[in-house]
Amino acid sequence: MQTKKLAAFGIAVLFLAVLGLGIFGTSWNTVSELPENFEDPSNVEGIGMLIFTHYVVPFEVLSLVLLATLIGAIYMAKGEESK
Amino acid sequence: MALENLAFLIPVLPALAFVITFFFGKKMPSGGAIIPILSIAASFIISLLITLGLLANPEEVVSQSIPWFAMLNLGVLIDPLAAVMLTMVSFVSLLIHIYAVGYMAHDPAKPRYFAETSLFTAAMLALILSDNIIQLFVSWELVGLCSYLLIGFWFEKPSAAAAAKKAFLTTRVGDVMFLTGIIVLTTDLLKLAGGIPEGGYLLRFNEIFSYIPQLSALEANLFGLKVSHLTIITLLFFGGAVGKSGQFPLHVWLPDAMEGPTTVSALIHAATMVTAGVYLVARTFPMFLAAPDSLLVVAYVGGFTALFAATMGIVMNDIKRVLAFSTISQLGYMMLGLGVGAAIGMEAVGISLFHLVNHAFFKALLFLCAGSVIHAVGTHDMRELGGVAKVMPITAITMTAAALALAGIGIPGTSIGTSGFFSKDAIIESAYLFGEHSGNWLPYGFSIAAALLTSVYIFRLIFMTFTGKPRSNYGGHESPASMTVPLAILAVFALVFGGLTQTGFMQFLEETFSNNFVNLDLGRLAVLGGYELVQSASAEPTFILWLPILVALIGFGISFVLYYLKAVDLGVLASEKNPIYKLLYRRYYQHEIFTEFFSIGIVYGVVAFLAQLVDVLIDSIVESISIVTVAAGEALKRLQTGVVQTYAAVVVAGVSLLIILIKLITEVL
Amino acid sequence: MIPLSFYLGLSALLFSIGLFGIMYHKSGIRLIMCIELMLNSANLNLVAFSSYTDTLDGQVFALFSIALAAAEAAIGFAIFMAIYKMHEKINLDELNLLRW
Repeated sequence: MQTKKLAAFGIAVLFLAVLGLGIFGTSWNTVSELPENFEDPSNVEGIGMLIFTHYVVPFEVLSLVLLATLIGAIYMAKGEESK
Repeated sequence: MALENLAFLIPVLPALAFVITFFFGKKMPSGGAIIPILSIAASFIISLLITLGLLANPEEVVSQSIPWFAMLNLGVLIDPLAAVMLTMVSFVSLLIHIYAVGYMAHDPAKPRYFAETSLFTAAMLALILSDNIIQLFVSWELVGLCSYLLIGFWFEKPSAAAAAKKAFLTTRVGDVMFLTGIIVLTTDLLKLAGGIPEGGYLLRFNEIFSYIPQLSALEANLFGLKVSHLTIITLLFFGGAVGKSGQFPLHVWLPDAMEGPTTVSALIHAATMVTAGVYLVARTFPMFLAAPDSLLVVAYVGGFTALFAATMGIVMNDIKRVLAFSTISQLGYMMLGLGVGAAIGMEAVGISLFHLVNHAFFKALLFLCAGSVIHAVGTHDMRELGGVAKVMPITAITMTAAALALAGIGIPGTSIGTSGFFSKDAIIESAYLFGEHSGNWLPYGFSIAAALLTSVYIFRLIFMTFTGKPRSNYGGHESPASMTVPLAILAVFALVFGGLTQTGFMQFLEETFSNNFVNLDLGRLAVLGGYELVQSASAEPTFILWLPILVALIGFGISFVLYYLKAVDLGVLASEKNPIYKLLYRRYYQHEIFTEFFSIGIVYGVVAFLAQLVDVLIDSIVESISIVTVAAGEALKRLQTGVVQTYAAVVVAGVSLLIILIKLITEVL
Repeated sequence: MIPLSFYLGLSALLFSIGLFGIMYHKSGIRLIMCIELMLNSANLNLVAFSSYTDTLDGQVFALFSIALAAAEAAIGFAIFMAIYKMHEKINLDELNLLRW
């Protein structure tokens, strides 16, 4: 095995071990029963309500981000072509 | 104005003359000689008046002081010892300055000369009348500096510059010993006095002397021998005197010091500076008396030097070299005179100083006459002279008078004789007493042998220079009046001073340490030193009384036969093939041993080696620091691979390790 | 029901697989795919927490995360296009101009 593969594998395993120890060693504060919502089983209505009331500002900002990404990606990929 | 209040002017006036002549001498006629002459004349008059006052009333010693800083003071002490030396120094200096007006008339650097001799006179006078040992040491160093400046007066000549350097360095060895002695003394005094006393000056001579009984009780352990502190201190002081007064082994600078102008040789190396060492031992004589074995060392070194220098004087061909070795020899006599104080106590100061003053007169006269001859004839070498008496009668007569004084011609038991006769006789008789009393006959033997050789070399000089037919073509004329008048005055003193003042002088000096300033019981001190003083001098056998003059006449006879009648062919005796002659002429190879082998070979070699070692060492240390830094940089730069994945890997690995580390630390602690 | 830590463990596993991929693969495209994998594991984490604590905020956050992941992938591809135009290759091992 090449050194790079071995080293990468080793570091990934190390990181996984640390995370795993963290996860399985903590007592998570969870509900005892998973909630069952029969009126809105896929939570779409609930998510929509949250987006447009509490998180409307991040939503609008996200749209701006996507716009900027669009423009930037097209500009960079296009390169220095003479118009 | 009381005369005592003018005492401080004695060194100050020549010092002012130095400043004025140094800056304004060029603009003044005769190169600014008149100001130093006037100031030294004033000092002479003041010292003479003070001396006369002291003669009338030996109890009234001039003693003044002002505080300087810390526990030091600046002070003036004029007791009989200082008074006679002050008068002699200022008188001889005055005459030599007048002579120098004529001698240095054609020299372009006259202002510098007169300024430097004026400074020298000021320093010497300050040395004599200083009342504490630090002031003496400061003046001592200043006198050494002026000697360096004046020996190297014609500094464009490389031999003169080298001679000045040699003089300074050799006397420096002595000065270091002197300073060490002062340090030991100060440490002991501070210990005995328990700290610096309020308003008291520990290093004033009267204070030092009052501590002598306590000092003699202190002992040190040197290489397994028990040595009294006083012995150490006095021997270190004597070391300083050895350097300054040209005793063996630090005498090597005096013959080379003849590179300076002849008036410098007369002033510094005959009459004044070289006597500073004798003055030091005389001034601290109570300490020497209370220190076991010190006076014996002084006597032996003095006696040996007297003989040693005289053996070299008989083969020299340069007029001034003969006189230089003669000076060393006579200084040996003076030290011997002090050293026999082990047997005769306080009288030793008297006889030694008597010889010092007489020697100043006739040795200065000898040098000035030699200068007169050199000035007229233009050469130093006696082999080219001969018959100078026809050309320069005054010089011939005065020089002969001086030669008679040096050889010590006179009639014992009476008051008829030259000065040198009385003073040298006194020393030789005391050496006899010393030998008889303590069984050490060597000093007496040295002094008699040296007397014989003294007579030989000085009459050799006279016959070779002044009599016979001229051996080369030298043209010349008698010197001007400014030069012959001092010669005449000095000749008169050389002839009659001894006879006139013999008993009075020595009695006057014996009062030095028993007056109102320093109250010492010298008998008690001698007991401390373990010396048995002669209580009553028995009459010496007539043979011993007549031996010195007999020996002097034998010496005269030898040189008469060899150099006047030329009865024996000297070509074989005085050639390089004769091993004894070669040994003496090469001055016992001292230059080779001391300078070439010791100084240049050993000392300079060691120093150069160490310097190179330090160089290499420091260089390597500094370089290694830089090498380490650069190597670390070279090694660590490989972390920057430029590949993004490496960076990501390192970040993740670092975070994981950090978390583990924190967890471990919080668990462990 | 299964404990929350199983979901979290799955997310950690996916994350480390993505991490291995980032550190090992040479091609730039594979790098972007592994980054997407890591982002998705974070999303899984968010949703798991949201369902086990009876709030919907985590799921909203996950939506935003998905959108941003898309944007970032687009930019990433644009950058690789520019690099390819300059160097004719996108082999990350050879793009080491910032090397010592």
